[in-house]
Amino acid sequence: MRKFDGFVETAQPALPTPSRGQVLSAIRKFLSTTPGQNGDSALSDDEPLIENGHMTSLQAVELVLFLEERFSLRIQPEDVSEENFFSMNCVTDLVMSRIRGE
Amino acid sequence: MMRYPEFTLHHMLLNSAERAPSHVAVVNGTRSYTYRDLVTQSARLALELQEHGVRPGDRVGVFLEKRWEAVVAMFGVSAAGAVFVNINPLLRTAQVQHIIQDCRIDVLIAESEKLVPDVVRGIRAVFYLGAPVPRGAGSLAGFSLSRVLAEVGSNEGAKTNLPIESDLCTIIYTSGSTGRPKGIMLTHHNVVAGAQIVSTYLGNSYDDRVLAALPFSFDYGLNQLTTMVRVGGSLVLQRSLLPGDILRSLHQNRITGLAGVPPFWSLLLQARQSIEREPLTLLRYITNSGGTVPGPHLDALRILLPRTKIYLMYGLTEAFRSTFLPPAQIHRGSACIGKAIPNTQVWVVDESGRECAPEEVGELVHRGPTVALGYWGDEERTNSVYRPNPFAPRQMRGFDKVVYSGDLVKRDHEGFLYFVGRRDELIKTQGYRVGPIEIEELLCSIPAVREAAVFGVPDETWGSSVTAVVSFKAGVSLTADQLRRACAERAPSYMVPREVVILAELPKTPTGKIDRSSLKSEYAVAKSGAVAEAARR
Repeated sequence: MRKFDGFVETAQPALPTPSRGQVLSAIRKFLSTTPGQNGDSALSDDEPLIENGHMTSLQAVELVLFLEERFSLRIQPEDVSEENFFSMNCVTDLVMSRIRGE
Repeated sequence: MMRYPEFTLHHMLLNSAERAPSHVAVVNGTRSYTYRDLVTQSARLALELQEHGVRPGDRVGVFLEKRWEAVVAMFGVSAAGAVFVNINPLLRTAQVQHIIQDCRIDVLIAESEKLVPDVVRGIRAVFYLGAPVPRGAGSLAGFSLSRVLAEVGSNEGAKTNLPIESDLCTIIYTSGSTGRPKGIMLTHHNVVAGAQIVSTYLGNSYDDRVLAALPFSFDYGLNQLTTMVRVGGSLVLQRSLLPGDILRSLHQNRITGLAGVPPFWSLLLQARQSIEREPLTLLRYITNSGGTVPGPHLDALRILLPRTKIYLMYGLTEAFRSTFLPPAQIHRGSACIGKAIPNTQVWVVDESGRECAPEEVGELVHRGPTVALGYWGDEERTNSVYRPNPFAPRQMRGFDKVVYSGDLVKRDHEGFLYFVGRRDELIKTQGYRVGPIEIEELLCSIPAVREAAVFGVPDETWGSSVTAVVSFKAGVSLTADQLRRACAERAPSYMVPREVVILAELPKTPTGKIDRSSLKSEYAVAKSGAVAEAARR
């Protein structure tokens, strides 16, 4: 809910570019601490998240805010879609594309 | 001119199909289906159901994702004179079993992957979508739904057992504050009246394209379908509730009407910047029901959608739909639920059964054509909620049933109603009667708070102590003490929560409302654990 009060993006200090593995494990960690989850670290990278009840829509939005904060990037609301949030791998693809500035 | 008087679901469908058979009834992803498709395919299903032993009044479970076939299933079941029971696709096996056993469903329409052994136990026949269901499981008969809907059968043109308006149309399962979900019995008369009333005050027409973002297993979600079918408009099925998908659907489908519950608006507001860039100019109205929209969200929606009419509605499944606030009155605030819907009477009644004076808190009592028959198989509970009209002449009292909602409201001097809380949730603390909603609004007015739920915990000294469960916006948080101080700056001390529990997110029901009963029970469990632990020390 943060960025809808028109926050101005400020320049972030240069950080070492995170690897795909780091992004994936950050997502896994976020999901394991989400209410309703029992810290299920056995979730496969391709497991459908919303479809199989591992994440609600509101939690997906929380995940967006978390990722924006953690990796200093911006995800457009248009990109918060079923396709991009289908599995942990899909979310990682999205984050990596933002890191590369696509 | 209507060809059929509107007595049943089918009359509404047939009228629309006759008026404009090629008009789009349902949009499912990239595919559109016309009113002609809906009539043809639901008739095929009805005949097939009858052929396989479904008799008038039988309950048929519809356990499908939100898709075209789910719409056909509802109309098909009811064209066979049977009763459709929508089962929320989010429910887990144990909850599904409860519904199936409670209303004795023996025919189920579902995606194949949902037909696990514990679900089909006791089921006689399934109409599946997807891979063929193995016949091995006892005497279970399986039929491919896609084949039934696509094929011209040998019985084409045969007559189905059409219902009359007094017949049951559907049973809607809903959670109460106690016990397992109860099935509320709605007749065709109830469902048609609900569609007539709501489509009238929303001014729905043939040109409307309404987004179906809520489940059909929820009375308010079902109403988007019935209102569109009544006016011959188009219903766009929406499965994903992620902001990006909602936004795309609103634009691509040129949506004119949107119905949501409070958390839905917070998802939509995530896309605020995109909507500012590309305004939703075609969105004629939005409606909220199923809870109070937090004041700041309502203000944000009014600014973001300046040309869209905002209707705040209130209803309980027991009476289908009950009150609404006209858009011109929106400044009255988010707790205002307006006045009775057309053709309906609403009273505020005190504990002795007398009508309350303005500003006095009492129970909302509803009288009108949407009053349901009662709870399936539960006469005792039915009699406690569906009671004789207290204001009718004594001689007719027993024949005029009204619904005691269990919801506490107050009426202002102009007759507008305001939601205060559930009767069993009203908090009496230090001699004051406080509604949880008042305190939730107080908490939500603190900038760091994202969501809040408040309930009373019995306390010997205080009567009840105000307990709050809150979640914070990303990147900000307060301690319980800071939160209490912020409350104390804004409200009298009796409204300040004595106990504050901080969660990352509040639990939700399958329809997206804050799950108060699970919050309370989780709190009770945590509390008793803490007490036991303290005792051990």
